[in-house]
Amino acid sequence: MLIDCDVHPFIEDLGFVYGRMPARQRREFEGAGVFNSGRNPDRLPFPGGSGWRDDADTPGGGLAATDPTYVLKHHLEPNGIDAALLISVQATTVNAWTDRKLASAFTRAFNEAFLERWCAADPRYRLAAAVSPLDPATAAREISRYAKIEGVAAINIPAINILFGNLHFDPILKAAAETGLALVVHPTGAEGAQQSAPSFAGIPNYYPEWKAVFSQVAHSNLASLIFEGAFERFPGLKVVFVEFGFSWLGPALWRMDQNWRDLRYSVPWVRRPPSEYVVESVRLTTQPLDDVGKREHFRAILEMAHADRTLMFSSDYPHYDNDNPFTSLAAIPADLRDPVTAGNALEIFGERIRPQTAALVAS
Amino acid sequence: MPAAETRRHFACKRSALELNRFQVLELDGRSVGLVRTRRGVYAIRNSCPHQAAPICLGRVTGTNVPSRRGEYRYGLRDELVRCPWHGLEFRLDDGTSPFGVISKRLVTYPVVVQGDDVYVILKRR
Repeated sequence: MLIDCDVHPFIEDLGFVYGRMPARQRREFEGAGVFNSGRNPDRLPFPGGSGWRDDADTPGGGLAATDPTYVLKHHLEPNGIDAALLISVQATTVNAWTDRKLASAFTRAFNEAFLERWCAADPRYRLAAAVSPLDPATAAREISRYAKIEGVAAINIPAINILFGNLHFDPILKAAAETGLALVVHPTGAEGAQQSAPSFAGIPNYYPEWKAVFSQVAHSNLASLIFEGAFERFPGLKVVFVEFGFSWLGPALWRMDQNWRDLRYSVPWVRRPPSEYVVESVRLTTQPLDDVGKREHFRAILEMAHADRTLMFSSDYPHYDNDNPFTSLAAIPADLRDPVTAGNALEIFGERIRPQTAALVAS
Repeated sequence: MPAAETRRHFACKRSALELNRFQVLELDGRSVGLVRTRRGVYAIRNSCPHQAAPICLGRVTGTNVPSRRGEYRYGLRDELVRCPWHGLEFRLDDGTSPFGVISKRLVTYPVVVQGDDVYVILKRR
């Protein structure tokens, strides 16, 4: 079985999204010129144009990944993908906003739109339902609601300038742990660019520079979850960092374990070595696969990152830097293939990631 | 262990030991730290099992026991020594690391107190 843990559906006709909002919210959006991407175009625009594969445009001339039927033909079927986790970057650009109410309305409407247009079209599409990090109480209620909706396999939540272990996120972590829905964190483009978005250790000036350092976001958020004791306070919490890489994880675990060992008394709510929590509850995805020169180095990196437990296949279709499943899986050692292709995803997402053949109803 | 493999060494007077302060002595070629706490008199090897730091320059302490986030609950009062280098903590009585932080043990030696005399039992080399 092959599960793709990162596919980006896109909705070009935002009217379809706004149509899923109550009228009073819809009025706030119509005519407001909301960008599809959280990145200010004056800040780190994608150098090649759209950031999408040119060959992913639909035959009718539509934008990439706007047609769920075409994506089946163009991506899932040729690559033998049995289930695709849909992660909307559009919906999570709210991490750059400051209006809490509109952010929650925006994410909710996108979820309705994807459930209706994508999940209802084919059971292989499994939605990571977006929630806004700006209003955790609302997000927590939404998580509880999404747990009961067929088609939802996870929760998509973008990082902001408050790290995930902080008190701010407690309602979200609690709801995720209680419902068993994994929290999926994916870059949005706003990192380093807007005030409320995650910051880096200094602002990068160029797109390739920005992309080279954004594992910092996952690294810091992981350390925050660990050292705030999130996995103790919310047993069953699961967190997936998508597209932030995985080569950094091994050394990050050594450093966290070492610091915990030396200074446990200053964080006495962290009851176990950090690496134990990570192996149990944190997952990363393969794309973008690092161009590691030597095979033995790559093997070592995988071992250091406990890839047999932590790593899951992803393509990032239809972005320009997506990984061809054939080439990226060929690089994975044979003994890791089963966990990476589906085993780890089935474990962390549970049965919700499996295509459901029963009739789907978008609520 | 059979008595023939160990030897009793006079270390110091109990009354000379200041509460919770290590006195470091050379006994049978080993640097040994003696300390008197409210719980008794202890002897440890003056070498942290982590990176051989002079652990007797560290402090006798308790520690924060596992707790809820933001909460500090002090326990094991005066039962531990904390290394002055990396802060690793070891029990004075058996040299183990509390809460399973590290599997290495600090070497400790049996102590016998007779009257005001403190003896340390060391294995013969």
